[in-house]
Amino acid sequence: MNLSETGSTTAAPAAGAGKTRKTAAARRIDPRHDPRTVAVLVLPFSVLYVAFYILPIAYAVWQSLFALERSGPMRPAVSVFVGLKNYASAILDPAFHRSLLNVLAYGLGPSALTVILGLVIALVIDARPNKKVAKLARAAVFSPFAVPAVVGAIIWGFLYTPDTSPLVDAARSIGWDLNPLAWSPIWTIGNIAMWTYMGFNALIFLSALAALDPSIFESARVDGASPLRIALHIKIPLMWPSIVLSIVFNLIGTLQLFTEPTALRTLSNEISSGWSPSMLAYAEAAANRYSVSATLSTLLAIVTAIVSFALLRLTVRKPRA
Amino acid sequence: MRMFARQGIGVAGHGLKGISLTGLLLSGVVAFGAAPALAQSADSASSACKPTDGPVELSYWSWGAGYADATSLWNSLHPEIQVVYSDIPVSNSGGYQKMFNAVKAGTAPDIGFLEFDNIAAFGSQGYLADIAPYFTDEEKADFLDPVKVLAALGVEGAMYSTPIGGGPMALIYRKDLFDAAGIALPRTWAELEVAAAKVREVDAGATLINFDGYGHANWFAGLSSQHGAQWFGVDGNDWRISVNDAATKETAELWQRMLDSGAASDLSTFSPAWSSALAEGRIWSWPTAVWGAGVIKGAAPATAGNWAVAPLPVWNEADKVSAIWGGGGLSVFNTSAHPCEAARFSLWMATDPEALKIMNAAVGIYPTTKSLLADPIFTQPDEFFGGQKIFDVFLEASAQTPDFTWGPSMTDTYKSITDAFSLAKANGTSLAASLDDAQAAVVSSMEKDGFTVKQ
Repeated sequence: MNLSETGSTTAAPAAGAGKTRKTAAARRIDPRHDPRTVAVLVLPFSVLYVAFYILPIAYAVWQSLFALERSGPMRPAVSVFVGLKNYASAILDPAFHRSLLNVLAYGLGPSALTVILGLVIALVIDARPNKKVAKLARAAVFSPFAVPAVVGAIIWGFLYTPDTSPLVDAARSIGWDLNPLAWSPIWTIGNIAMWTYMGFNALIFLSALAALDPSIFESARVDGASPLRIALHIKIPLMWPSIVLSIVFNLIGTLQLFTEPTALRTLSNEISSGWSPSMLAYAEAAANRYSVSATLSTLLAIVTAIVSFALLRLTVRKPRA
Repeated sequence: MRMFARQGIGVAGHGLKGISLTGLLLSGVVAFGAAPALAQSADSASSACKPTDGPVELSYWSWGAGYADATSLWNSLHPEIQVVYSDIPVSNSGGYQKMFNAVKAGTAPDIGFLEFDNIAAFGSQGYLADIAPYFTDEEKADFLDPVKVLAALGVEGAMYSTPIGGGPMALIYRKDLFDAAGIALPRTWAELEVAAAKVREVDAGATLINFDGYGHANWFAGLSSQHGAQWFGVDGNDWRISVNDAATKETAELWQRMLDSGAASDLSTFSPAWSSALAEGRIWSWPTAVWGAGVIKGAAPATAGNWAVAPLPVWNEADKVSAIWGGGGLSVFNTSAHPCEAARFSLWMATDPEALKIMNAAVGIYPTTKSLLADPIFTQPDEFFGGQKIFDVFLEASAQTPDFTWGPSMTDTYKSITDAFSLAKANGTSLAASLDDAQAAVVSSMEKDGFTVKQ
């Protein structure tokens, strides 16, 4: 779509008087503008996109309109059409509310800290232009992101467990009765996520910083601005689009939180099976209530879309004003 | 179970038999179906079993050490019926979900291991075949009554499972530590509470007992049933649900008191922390099922000889009641093309002394038939337990299994209870009070499952 549009606009000014004939000729010369070529190129993606993205979503929405019914205490269940009834009961379900409150607390706590700490790390690395040190620091903070999430969560689980943890041993040897498993799940989970994604966020910010024109900071320094002032008043406002992007990434990650709490559940008694909305949807599917699971998933997708768009709308306008 | 049997027959019998018949017809095995075979005597097995031409391959899903090795033994003895064993996640931790998904996807195995509390979950969906027609009356009569009742799902004469191992509970404890501390073996839960406080005085770093209920609601279900709890019942066309009945709440309160005073630990059962606490003498006892003997041997090999097995403490010394945790058998899915061969294999797994010996060495297995109970493997002294004949204790416990009706979706019920307990722990509220939340959750889940429910 985009391709052919840009094609015709670039062709237009050069065309002049014999517009239609010339564009037709251009099309013949450049096969990239042939709609058939476009179709062939786009086809593999479209097929996969429809088969593995659009159709499952449509099927989930369709499934969410059904509920189970039985004619007796030991009779098999039959699926019957109930319209939007599942949505009404999901919206009123206290378990769904609890899971949303959990991710809300998580979003305001560890998730927000991930962005803030990522930003701090990026600004610190950027302020020390020693290339070798910067390279090393960048690799160091980014490396946790390369560890698969489940592996990271399991290893952190062992670090939390007093009997297997060298950290707890060390803390206890200096008289600090550390027991991370007794912390609120928000922070046992949050710590893992922060460890994983802080560096990823820092990397986004670093590439945003690298794209900025260094002469701005040069003149600011000449004007006598301190590095902190440059960071707060020049770098951060200029980085604003990537900060918003990072916030949206973290927000989506928060609403879809699943891997870390699921992996920690075997070690901590405080994480329930429906701790986050994704876990709740998963637990319902595990209990063979596919319709309820589909309803929760659809609701979660709607909430994620609304919150993401709202955030983009609100924050992108700010620096312009 | 009694009530279930009395009231469930009419409704359940109808639904289940109808479905299993269709299953048989669909798989094209016996044209006459199950009902006539049921009426026949002695050699009904041979009449219901139509020999298959050529070799048969069966798929078998289970978990637990030893099952694969026992299957290999069968394969070497029966070249014409080869069984392919697959290890799947343990029961409520994903195993049943895998089976449900497989049924939905049309890829169910021929045979699956189901614990007693979950046979109804599959049976009520019509997923299981009644395999009673493939056994002779003699073979059927050899099964112990308590397990036969669990396998019948309230349908007179039916078998939706070939019971392999029972799950009678007892108290496995560190005899050496009790003796050294001069603490008498508790016979009642009240005595255990007192003893638990004493253990704290003797060794501040140890507890007498661990609360397994946070992660294992089936353990808590067993202990509640010992006190007379009745979580489920069939009332006409409805399920009656009361996971928060008085007996259950009193059970929760007992553990709450011990947790609050620190007399009971709350380690996540089967976690590395829990295993090392058992191995290092920081947990002195474990109220567990017969297979727990095998778990302890694996978790604390260095403590061999220091353990002993005693009857589960009771609530009232006059009432000798025990409980079950786990235990189950092999069920045949009604999509199996070879239900007869599958049933014969499951009977072999349950009754062959050599197979049992293999499984028993890996996990403690409590036999389900009268003839096996007399087998030397179950009458020998066990050196790990100081030369005690531990199966004697479990035999006594097995005879004291309380009447308890299992609901139609126990995995889900357990999840509601462990979730309520997790929440209580996180919020610092009481386990007993959280049972009301669990009740609400179970009622809501079962309504979503399409059942009509009474509280």
